[in-house]
Amino acid sequence: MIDFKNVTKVYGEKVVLKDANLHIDDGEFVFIVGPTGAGKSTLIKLISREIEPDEGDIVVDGKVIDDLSNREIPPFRRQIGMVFQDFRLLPNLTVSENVAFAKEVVHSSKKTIKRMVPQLLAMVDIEDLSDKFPDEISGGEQQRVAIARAIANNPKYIIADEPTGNLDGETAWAIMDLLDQINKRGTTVVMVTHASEIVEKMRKRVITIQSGRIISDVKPGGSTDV
Amino acid sequence: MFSGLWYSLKKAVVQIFRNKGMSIASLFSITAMLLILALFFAFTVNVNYLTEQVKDEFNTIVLFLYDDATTEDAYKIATSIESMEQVDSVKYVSKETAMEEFKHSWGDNAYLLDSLAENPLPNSLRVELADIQGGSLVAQVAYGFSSVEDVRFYREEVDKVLKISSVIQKSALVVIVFLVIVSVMVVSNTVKLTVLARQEEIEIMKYIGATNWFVRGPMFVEGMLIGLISALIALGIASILYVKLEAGLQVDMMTLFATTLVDSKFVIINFAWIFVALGVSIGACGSIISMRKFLKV
Repeated sequence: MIDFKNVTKVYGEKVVLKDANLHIDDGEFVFIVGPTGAGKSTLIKLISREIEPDEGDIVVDGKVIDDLSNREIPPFRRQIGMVFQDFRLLPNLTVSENVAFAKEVVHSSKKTIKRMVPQLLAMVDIEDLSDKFPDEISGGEQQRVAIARAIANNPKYIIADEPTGNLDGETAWAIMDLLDQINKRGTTVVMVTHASEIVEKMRKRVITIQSGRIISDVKPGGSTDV
Repeated sequence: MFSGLWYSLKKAVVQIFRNKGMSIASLFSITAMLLILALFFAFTVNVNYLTEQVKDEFNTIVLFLYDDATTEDAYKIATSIESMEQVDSVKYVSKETAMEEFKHSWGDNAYLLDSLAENPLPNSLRVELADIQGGSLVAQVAYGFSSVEDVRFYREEVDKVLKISSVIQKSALVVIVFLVIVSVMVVSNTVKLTVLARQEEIEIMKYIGATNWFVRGPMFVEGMLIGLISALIALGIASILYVKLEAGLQVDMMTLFATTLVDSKFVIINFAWIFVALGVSIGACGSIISMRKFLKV
């Protein structure tokens, strides 16, 4: 569960998020849409505790994450898989090393890593690329690696920031399929996007932000409540 | 814990080879600093050594006694002065012995002294000081005895030598501290460039949920390894140079100061631990300082 309670975030003079209230249940698939600079990235940075709110609380799994100490942040982040528009793979590691890295971070044993990494690569359909470096494969393939890395530690949440932004239509849909599958297995997915076509076809909950305010929250059934 | 260390060490070695340019730059700067440091260290150690030699030579005070003082008087003075903590030993030298020594120092011309009707040299006490700084105190006490006619010691000369050597020591210390600060700055700047290149990598690691130490560990070890390698290179160069210097200057030093340079074994052993300790901590500090900023994700 992710809860925003009257969250306000200010950068200097600029209010990027104003009095936001939000509730995301476990297992949901939520799109966050809105124009550039509306506050979508701020929302994501707040959830991953990269920044802290100026007012209000953010509660993840019953825990107010603004109160997390520096020591508690890494374990907290391990339950969130992050997927980015620019993939953010480590350039001098191979595909399988990139995925293995997420497991090394949580101190998994060598044996577990050896067993798990091929499974993860198979889940995103790129087991044949395991020894390639990121610059040797396509954008869609890189995003698959990023997703494999994001789910490596079996996180409760996937936060995806414009995951299809750098991909062509067909590849984008393949990535959406993948995210949908992950969601169907029980992982909560929060995805920021500009792609209206995807949002329309997926028929999921859509939260719209404009000028730092949540202006609509449409559930798949069609009901609006803000 | 141990596996973490092993992990860091493995990653560090890989990184050193992947960033050859940076590693070599850091290596050169630390080695250069350590070599300059070695120069000052060797200089200071030798100045100290010379000072010690001078002290040894000048740590004798001679008390001249009146002719009417009896051996008993001399004995009394000797015992009370010997009991002072600044004093090592006291030796009675009769006027006859003094004359013998005097003649001896005249060598072949000693016969000239035979014509003296009477031995003009006084009886004396030779006081060996344990602590040269206590010289004036001993002199003061000695003047208190009525049988003591005069006291001779090299206070001014010794003071001068001590003053010079303390100035040299202090300025060497200042230079050494300055050098250490400069090398930490140089290394941290070099590492900063490496870290800058890896900024994105660090960010990604932090997003995945890596702890600060998981990110820092390998870079920390990398800094220490570079420091250690620099220390060993500097040690090699400095040792060879010092041994050569010692051999080359031996004759000159002997004629000028009646002593040699400080033994190379002593100097090299000190080089070794100073270099390793400094090199490793300079490398470690350098990487810690330069990374601080980037870990705040």
